[in-house]
Amino acid sequence: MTGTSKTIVKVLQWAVRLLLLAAALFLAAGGPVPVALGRLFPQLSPLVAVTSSIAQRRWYLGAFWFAPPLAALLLAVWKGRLFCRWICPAGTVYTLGSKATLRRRVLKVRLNGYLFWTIVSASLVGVPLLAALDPLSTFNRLTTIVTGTYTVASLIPGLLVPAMLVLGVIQPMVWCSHLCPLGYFFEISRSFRSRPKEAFVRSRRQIVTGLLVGLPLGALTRAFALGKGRHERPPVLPPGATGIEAFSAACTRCYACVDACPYGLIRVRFDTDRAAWQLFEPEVHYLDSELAPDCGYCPEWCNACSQVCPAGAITPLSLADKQCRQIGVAKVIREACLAWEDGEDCSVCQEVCPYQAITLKIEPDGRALPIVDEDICRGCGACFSNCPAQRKGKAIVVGGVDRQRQVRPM
Amino acid sequence: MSYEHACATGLTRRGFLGAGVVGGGALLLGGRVALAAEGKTDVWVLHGTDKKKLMDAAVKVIADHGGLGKDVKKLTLKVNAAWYSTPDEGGNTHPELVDAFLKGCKDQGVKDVVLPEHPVQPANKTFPRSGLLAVAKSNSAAMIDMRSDAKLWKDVKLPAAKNLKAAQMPAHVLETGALINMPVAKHHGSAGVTIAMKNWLGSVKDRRFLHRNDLHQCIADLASFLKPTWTIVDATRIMLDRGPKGPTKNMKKPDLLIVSKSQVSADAYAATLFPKATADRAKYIQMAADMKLGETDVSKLAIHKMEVS
Repeated sequence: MTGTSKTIVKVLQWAVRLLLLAAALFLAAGGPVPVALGRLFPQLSPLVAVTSSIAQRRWYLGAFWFAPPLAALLLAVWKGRLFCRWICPAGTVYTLGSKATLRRRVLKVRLNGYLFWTIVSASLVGVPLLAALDPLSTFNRLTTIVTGTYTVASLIPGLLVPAMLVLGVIQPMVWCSHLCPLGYFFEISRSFRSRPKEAFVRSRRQIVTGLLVGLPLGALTRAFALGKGRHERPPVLPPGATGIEAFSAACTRCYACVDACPYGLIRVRFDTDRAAWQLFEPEVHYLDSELAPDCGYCPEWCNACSQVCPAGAITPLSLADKQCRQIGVAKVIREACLAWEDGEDCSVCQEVCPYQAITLKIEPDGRALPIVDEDICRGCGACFSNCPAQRKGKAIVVGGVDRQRQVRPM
Repeated sequence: MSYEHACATGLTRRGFLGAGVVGGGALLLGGRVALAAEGKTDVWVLHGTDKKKLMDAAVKVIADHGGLGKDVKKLTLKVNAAWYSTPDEGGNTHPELVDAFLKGCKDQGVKDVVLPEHPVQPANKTFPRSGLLAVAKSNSAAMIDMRSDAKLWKDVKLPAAKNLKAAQMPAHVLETGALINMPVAKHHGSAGVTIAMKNWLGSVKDRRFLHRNDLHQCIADLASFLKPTWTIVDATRIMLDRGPKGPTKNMKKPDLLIVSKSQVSADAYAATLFPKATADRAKYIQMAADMKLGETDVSKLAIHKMEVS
């Protein structure tokens, strides 16, 4: 290649990289485009497609969304890590960050292979442990800080990109060259094509270590929690998740669902009373209607979060299906209730229920007492959000269900 | 609510008469001229299936019986736009009625019309779905989401109230040339039925206080303080259960507009459209009577039934 054409390629490369970086940020932050596009960049990762499928024991991608990870993988088989140098938005950020660097080699061993095989091995026991290290999920996670839906818990996973930037100042491109499991996946895809025997011999140590670490670590994090308590009921998960086990088996903490919720109701929780592999998972967190900026419950007109999951933790639901999805069940706490306990004429929960899941038991004096019909309740949280009880806190609360199901339409 | 007041404003009457002509509402009064009755509270009950003609007739009744008041520049219209509900579901005031009323206002020369609402569900969903945003826009009236700006609220004391002695209400409701209450009648879980008096909950910031402090008394308290120039009840279709949001299959189509200067009497009449057991739960109507806010004995009202076609 001549000097001039080299320069042209370089300029072109940077134009593409910056454009894609801007697009990734735009989509993750929820630009004025169909919400499902929020899935595009995290979906490009074949690592997520493979490990989430293994952990869930099902192939979750339809024909359409199967295309992005397949294209990325074929690109790797053909050209190795071309994806990293042209497409990956995290890679672009790290490259920019490594322009001014001390050039010290602090981390000498390349850990990316060990990480990759650990993730794959853990997936075999149903735990996509460390799949959150996928750079595309990692990059997407950054926006939970930018878009203001962050919680303290989301800061830790959300700050991986800034942390790697800082590390890049000491040792240039340390993430991409030494740590990135997706980069390794691309690398071996290429070398297994051209020199499979050699590639296997070279990867032996990584594969064995990955199996030795990943299998027990996956099983352990599944069995143990950091805290002592165990919750009686599972958390409320976004509509389209099935149950907490399947959800945890897939979630890569990309937080596309967190970004997609127009009402900021999906939050990252650091709940030490859940098993260790479930830390930093997003869950639905209803808000008091007086404190919510817009809407404090999961409303009947929205199915945004179900459209964006790249890992199959949340399966896409049509709006009609979402309206029939039971994601939780409400429960009246009678001793806190204005109607049951204080003799007030209050049935706000029944009034605001979008699905008429709360019936009123009319007393002889005309007072109406709310009762939840658990077969109809979707667990949307409208009742909780609007409950005016104060003395003992909210008189109606929503808990998650073991398994989300479709209830009959209105 | 006196008869003297009803006859005081000839000027507005002419204006609204004009509105009737421009609006093209063909009125058939069954050969009778609906006159205000001496000493009794007037309630006009307009029946018809064409909502536009129905409201044109209501506008004419208003013009014929005192109009909106002298030199009204600004009018505040309290509709119900609180629910993510379509017009046919009956959660909100029907947009065709509001459209015809706003046209009547325009013809009358009232240019500044505002519709403040403190919706239960997000306004960016309820206002469009109710159909009210579109008709407000096409008539250059402003729908105001009370949740959009804390400065829209004003602190008030309610001197005649028993429970709700202080509240925050929309400045637009408190300071205006004419205040019109245009609720939709429907079943209501907490209150039994919701019609005109209960509609003012959409003009209170802290609704939760009311639910904690005898809702019915608080509704009567609101009626002791907020006294609209006219009340026009949308009873074109009413939910008989599952209110206030619905939807329900248990709908009734009375095809009525109930017009009165007394929101208390309008409530008393509109309550008769519901099954007795439901209407009896609306204790606030009797409480309003006890506070001498209006006549609630339907047999003592001057009811003017009109057929509009």
